Amino acid sequence: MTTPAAVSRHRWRRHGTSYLMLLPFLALFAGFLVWPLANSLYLSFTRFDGVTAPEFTGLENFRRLLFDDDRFRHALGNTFLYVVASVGIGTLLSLGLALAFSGSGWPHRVMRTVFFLPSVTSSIALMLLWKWILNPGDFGLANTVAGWFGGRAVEWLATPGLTIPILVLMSVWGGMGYGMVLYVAGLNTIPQEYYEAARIDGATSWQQFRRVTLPLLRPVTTYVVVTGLIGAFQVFEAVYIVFRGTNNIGGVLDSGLMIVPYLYDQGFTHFKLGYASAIAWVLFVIIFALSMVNLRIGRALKEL
Amino acid sequence: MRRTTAAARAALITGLIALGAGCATSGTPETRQADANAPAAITWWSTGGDDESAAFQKAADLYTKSHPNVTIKVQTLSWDDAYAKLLAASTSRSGPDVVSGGMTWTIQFGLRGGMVDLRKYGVEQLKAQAQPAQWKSAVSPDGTVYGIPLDMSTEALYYRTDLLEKAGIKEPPTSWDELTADIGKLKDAGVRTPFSIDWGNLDWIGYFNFLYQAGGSFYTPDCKPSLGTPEAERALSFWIDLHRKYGAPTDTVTTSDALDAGTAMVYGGNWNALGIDTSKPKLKGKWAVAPLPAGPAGPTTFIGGRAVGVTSYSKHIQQAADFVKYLYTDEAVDAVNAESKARNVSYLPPRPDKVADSPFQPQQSEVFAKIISTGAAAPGCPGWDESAGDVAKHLQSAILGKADMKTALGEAAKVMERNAG
Amino acid sequence: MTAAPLLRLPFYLLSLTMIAPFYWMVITVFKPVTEIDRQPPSFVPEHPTLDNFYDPGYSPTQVNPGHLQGIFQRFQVDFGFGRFMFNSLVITVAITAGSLLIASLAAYVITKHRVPGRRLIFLMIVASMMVPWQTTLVPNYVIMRNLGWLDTYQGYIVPALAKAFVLFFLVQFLHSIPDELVQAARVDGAGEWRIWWRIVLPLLRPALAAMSIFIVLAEWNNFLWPLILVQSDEMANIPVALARLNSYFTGAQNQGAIMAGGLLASLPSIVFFLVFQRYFTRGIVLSGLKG
Repeated sequence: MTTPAAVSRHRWRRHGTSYLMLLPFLALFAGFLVWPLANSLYLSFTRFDGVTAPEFTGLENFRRLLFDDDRFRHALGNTFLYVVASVGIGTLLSLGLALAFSGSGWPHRVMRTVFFLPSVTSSIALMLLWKWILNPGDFGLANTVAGWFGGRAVEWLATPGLTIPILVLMSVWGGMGYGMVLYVAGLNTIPQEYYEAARIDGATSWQQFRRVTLPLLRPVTTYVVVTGLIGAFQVFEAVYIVFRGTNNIGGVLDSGLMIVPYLYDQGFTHFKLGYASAIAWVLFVIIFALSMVNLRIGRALKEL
Repeated sequence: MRRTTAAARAALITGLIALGAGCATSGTPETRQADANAPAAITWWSTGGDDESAAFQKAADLYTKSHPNVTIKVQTLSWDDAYAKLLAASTSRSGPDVVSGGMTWTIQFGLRGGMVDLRKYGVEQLKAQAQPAQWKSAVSPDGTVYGIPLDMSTEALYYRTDLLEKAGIKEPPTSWDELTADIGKLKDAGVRTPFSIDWGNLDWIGYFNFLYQAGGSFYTPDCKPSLGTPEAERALSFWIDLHRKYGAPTDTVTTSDALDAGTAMVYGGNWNALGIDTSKPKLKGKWAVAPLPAGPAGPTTFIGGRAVGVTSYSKHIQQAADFVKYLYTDEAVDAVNAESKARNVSYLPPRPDKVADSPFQPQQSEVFAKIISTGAAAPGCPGWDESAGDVAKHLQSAILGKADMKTALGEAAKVMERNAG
Repeated sequence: MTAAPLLRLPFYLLSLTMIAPFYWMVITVFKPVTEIDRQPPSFVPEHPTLDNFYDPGYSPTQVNPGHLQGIFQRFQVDFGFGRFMFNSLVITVAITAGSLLIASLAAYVITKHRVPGRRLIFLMIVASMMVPWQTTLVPNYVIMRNLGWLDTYQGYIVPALAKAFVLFFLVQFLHSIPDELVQAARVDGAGEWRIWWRIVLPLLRPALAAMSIFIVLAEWNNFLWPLILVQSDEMANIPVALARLNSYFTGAQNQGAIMAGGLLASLPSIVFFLVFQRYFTRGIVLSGLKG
């Protein structure tokens, strides 16, 4: 028999070890996420150039950002346009690819690998590749192809109207394989019996798709769309590598300016760290709202 | 293009996008000084390429020869993050003794108390040797000299001699009118793209040349925006015409690529001259450089470059300042010129009289020297660094037909006014 | 359900647009400087060469027409581009191993120990997954500067170790493992550290494998944080080095070396993927559909 004192000592020792095991993660989590997050919120209410102490300015950064900064408004508009187009088109193509190549035979497996390839390739390398493809010279691949169809050389990267379409294209090209993999997994969980039953009822392929496949894939679609939205809101590399001009991170007429590139520009080119923090918090609110939607939809689906 | 040559361009750009705002905290007491004759190990953080650092190291080694108690080590900082690194050094008040980077950097660091006022060390005697406009742009508005020019970069007209000949043009254009006339002749001779702009394309640097050539400027002498003048409009309308009427591409094509692709005349940075024969062997003997065609008020062309200064947290300010002054001596400039030549690095010394010995072909150096003699440097007015990007954007909107000329200039002036504080 | 063959055709055609850019990249790498900007371009290199990796004809002090530095000659750091590959490797391995270790420790405590506060802790960590990490960019930069960690390996590694999504995933996984396995070891008198090392880690192996694939790819390709953190060439990882190439060198003649750098950056992760493909898709699906 152990005495109560021994039990409590034992429990303390047990908990001591537990906390010790939690400590590395928690300390790093607190030090490089929680504390910076709080700090960033504080900085967003200050003017801070990284050298002199932050100067508290209340809501001034947010007032300027939301009501008096054309560039930020432009960045928001560009981002929303880009996000909607790239996620919309990307999700549709992902689903199409999954339907086309969900089999287990080698041609399908090869196709899946091919479409997935950009997801595992260095994103900076891909952006440099796109920049090279879109070279304004006649020897650029895009202009060579345009030439085959009788087109004239296009100044791809200096035509503001083409910027968002190019960014969307690069994003869809690089991202549809990832969605495809998720959809294929979703498709494989649908029991074949459902289709057989539908066929017996005389449903056409289209009806089977509408009535069986799509509804059962809804959780996958939610996931693909929401993670796609979250990822798209944080786009940076494509703008930074492909469109950044000499004086200007967003390309000609800021046609490719987005939220994170603008954050980088204000924070780490102009060293307006307080203002950059305010931009970060606007991004935070957007992403947080999207994640809540994701949670709510997920929960609703589980309750169904 | 070699790394250093691209860096020369970045010199300007990075210098100009660097932060503008900041509370002045000058007059920080300098670190206690060691005896001027005591041994000193000086570190120089040089923004640019490794080849350039190697060239500066030659001058440093010569200095050590005559000052055996002083050793100098040149370290390279890359353009992309030199500014942040130097800023971090200023904050922690530890780091290099000598720094070099974008033209306005030393002013920015100086306003934060990170640089020494070199006037105390007799640096003003060098002024006579420097290019006046460039020297002025290195001096802060209150007259303090936190840094002095270390090198220069400028812009020239590159042209294909064979194509001009084909179009019956004997000499490269020397005026705006000749430029547009020659573009017409080249078009008639079947040249698809007669003219393009590399350095400064759709950017304020591109406008700078036209603006000054038309007799205008970004600011009045007392730093009021001056884009509402007829000269400013004339410059912009000429620039717009070059793009819209005379077919200059809006996308930036590197000088060598443009010449190779059959563009007859290109506005490009001086550094391009070194790389063309290497990267495009077929162009050898078919291209040359000339000054930019002059506008109604003359041929004024943009001069950029780097500034060098001494940090206030250095333990060897006396020696470091003496070394910075030494960089303007014949011995030092010749050494850097020679090493740059050996390494095929683009380098234009800060002393116009020494440009003839720069690493370029003699006739090219001659052209650059001529351009520099009438050159102008970036505006040193408060708020310009912050405004440059937005000004460029308003100019772009005029070129791309999104805004009319007057509105664009008005908006640009508004930005400059607001950022002036 | 699968689509009819005819409906599949456009997707087969689409796959050509996937291959074409990669093909363009590879042929650019093997073209000599003078062939890269030819019009019309060659679609099979006519004079295949390795010059874009290392050009023996290039000399820093003597001009040799048609010969520029290969990718390994472009940076004046020891081992040239190899240095960045080494940096990326060190950073990726350290972060992967470190983050899995500390997350597995924490996940073990959260799922198998009845310590007060664990629910709250877990809730906080899960909530943090909804935070875009860019929000911490500015303060973390300031922290790194104050610690003197800019431009260091620890600046890359330490802030990246506590990964909420890894912890979340491991907790989910450990919930599905019966407590009895751990209890049995405890009855046998094994200490907690020993249980973690001998029992929990081996049980977690499939989950660790899935997570490590994500972490390896993410860290190998990480860009924005290194872009802010790194100052010298010596400390650049591959993506930062590639971005610097892009700003140092313009013009068609440099694209061969730049594409060679891109190839060197991509090949390891592509090979990694092809080897571990099975775990890979499983990992995506597990984290995606259960998460």
